[in-house]
Amino acid sequence: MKGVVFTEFVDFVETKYGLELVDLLFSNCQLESGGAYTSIATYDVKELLQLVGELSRQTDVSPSKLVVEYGRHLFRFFARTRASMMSHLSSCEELMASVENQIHVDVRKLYPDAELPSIKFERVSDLQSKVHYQSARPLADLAEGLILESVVHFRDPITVVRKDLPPGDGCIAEFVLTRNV
Amino acid sequence: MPDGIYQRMFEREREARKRAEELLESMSLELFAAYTQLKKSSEELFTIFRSVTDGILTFDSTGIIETLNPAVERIFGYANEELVGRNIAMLLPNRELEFPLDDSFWLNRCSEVQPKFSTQGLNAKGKVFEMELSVSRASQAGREFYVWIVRNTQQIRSIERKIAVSQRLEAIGQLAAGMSHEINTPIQYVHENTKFLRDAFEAMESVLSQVEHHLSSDPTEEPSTLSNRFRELFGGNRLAFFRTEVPRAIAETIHGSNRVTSIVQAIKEFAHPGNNEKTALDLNHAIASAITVSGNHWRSECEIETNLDPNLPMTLCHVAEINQVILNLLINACDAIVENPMQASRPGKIVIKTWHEAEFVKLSISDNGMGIKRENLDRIFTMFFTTKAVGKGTGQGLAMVHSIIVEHHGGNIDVVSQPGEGATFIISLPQSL
Ligand code: HEM
Ligand SMILES: Nc1ncnc2c1ncn2[C@@H]1O[C@H](COP(=O)(O)OP(=O)(O)OP(=O)(O)O)[C@@H](O)[C@H]1O
Ligand SMILES: [Mg+2]
Repeated sequence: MKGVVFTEFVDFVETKYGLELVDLLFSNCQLESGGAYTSIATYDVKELLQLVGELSRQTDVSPSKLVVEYGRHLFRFFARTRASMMSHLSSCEELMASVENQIHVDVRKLYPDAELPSIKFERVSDLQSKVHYQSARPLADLAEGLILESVVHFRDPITVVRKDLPPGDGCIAEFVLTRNV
Repeated sequence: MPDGIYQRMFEREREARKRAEELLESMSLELFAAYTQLKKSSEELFTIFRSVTDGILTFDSTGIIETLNPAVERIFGYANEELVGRNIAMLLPNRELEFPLDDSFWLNRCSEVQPKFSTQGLNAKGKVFEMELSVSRASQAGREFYVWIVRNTQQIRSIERKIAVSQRLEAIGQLAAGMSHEINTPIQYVHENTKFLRDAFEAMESVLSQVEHHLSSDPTEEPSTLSNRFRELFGGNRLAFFRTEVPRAIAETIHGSNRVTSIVQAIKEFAHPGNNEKTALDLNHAIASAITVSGNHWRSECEIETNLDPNLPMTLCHVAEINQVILNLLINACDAIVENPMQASRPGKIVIKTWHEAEFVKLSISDNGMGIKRENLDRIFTMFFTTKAVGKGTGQGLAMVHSIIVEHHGGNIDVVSQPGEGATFIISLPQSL
């Protein structure tokens, strides 16, 4: 997993819960990297799951909820720092349609070792579309957070309903996006 | 907030910075290596592009020339900057091209089977020349453009002509050793006979001077005594021998010198570069000359039988070229006989025939040499194809023969061969009207 996902996670914890909790997480987790994250390096996704687990213990919030929340944070970060990648897009659906073939393609140019999920966009009707998430990593919650925040970003009147698909390990999920009339 | 937290945070940040610096350093090294490699390979490609002898030129779909190599500059006589940005039509005579190009115009003329076609080019001096063109369409980053590969065939032709001349000289060169022997033999017996005639003349001279002496010394001498003396003088066999041998020696000398003359004549005919005009040729005469010039080449290996049509029409041709054809075929036949492992048990024989048929004059040369393997039949007319040992054949003979007969004379050449038994080459030439 690219370092940016880790540095932003640390930023997320610090903003939301403070520096002491960040320090506590690192002290309790015994991470291989020691928590000295830099955005240009690559780390094992297990460290992220370890940190999330510990954060959940410390805060009594479920890991799932935490990752969704983190996804929102991450989207805001991308929207801020990679604004140029999204500036030509005007809706949540357009964004979802271009992740697979454009945004993540550009990500891979910057980081040839990036481990990216497959994000398939499918328009069902004028008002409805589907985003299909599939990955080798169980990060459907992260995808959910990213999608939810993109709705906010574009101020789209859209309701997102998530459906977990078998085997239910968080590696495959479907999001139904419906426009409210 | 306890100090320890900042201490640990500071440590982590420092570690992270070190890690980041290491990574950046190795990335920039990788980048440098990749850049060097890229530069090297693009320089290599550029060198190839610049050094190939075929012209390479690209233009966009409106005909605007974009890139070209030095060969294009050489072929058309323009400098790079005189062409880039201009329209491709300036390199073609009287051709109004419509842009965007109709693909069928270029591309249909280039297929996998026929990747190039002949057309005319226009150079900077306004001269129209023959060129060979292959056109392909390429696209890069969604942009379409055309690629020309150009070759000036006029230049190639003149090189081919030079090869043709040198091939003929080489064929004659091969024969040179033989020819000097051909000339030496008659010269030698002319020489021997002349020495003999000198001796004969000396002997007769002494008889004649004695006769003269007798006649002038004693006018009173009895005629009978005189005739006795003369009988004595003529009595030895010597004079009788000379009287029969001298005419023979003279005839032989004349024959020998005639032979030298005819050999020299034949060589002259063969070595003559010929002018560009076609002249009427008696093929039978050309065959006789070829047999004469190459005599030393075949005489010890085989016999030549001729079966020549006495009513053979003349044929309009480049005489020197046709001589070269006959000579090449004759030498090939002779080589095939020499190289035949069966030669010991089967005396070598070459049969040359001429006849006429419809508007054609025909010539066949058959030998009973080693023959041609089936898989080689298609290849023998190819330039540089030879089965002969290193230093023996150059594989140019039949290629020249083919181009002379087919391209220069509108004739035809066929070959039939039974491997191990021999080969027959049959030539048809249009007869002169
Ligand atoms: C400008 C917008 C975006 C950028 C720059 C971006 C970039 C990235 C990067 C750098 C990673 C990490 C790759 C790695 O760890 O090797 C990543 C992972 C991911 N991205 Fe994006 N992304 C963007 C938008 C989105 C959106 C809109 C979604 C919505 C579904 C999305 C879904 C994900 C997910 C779920 C992952 C985690 C890896 C996984 O699940 O296998 N991304 N992205
Ligand atoms: N009469 C023949 N019998 C058998 N093979 C022949 C005969 N004529 C030609 N060939 C075959 O065809 C080949 C090509 O002949 P060609 O005259 O082109 O070249 P070459 O005789 O090998 O060399 P060069 O004529 O240039 O000295 C020969 O090497 C030989 O294998
Ligand atoms: Mg030959």
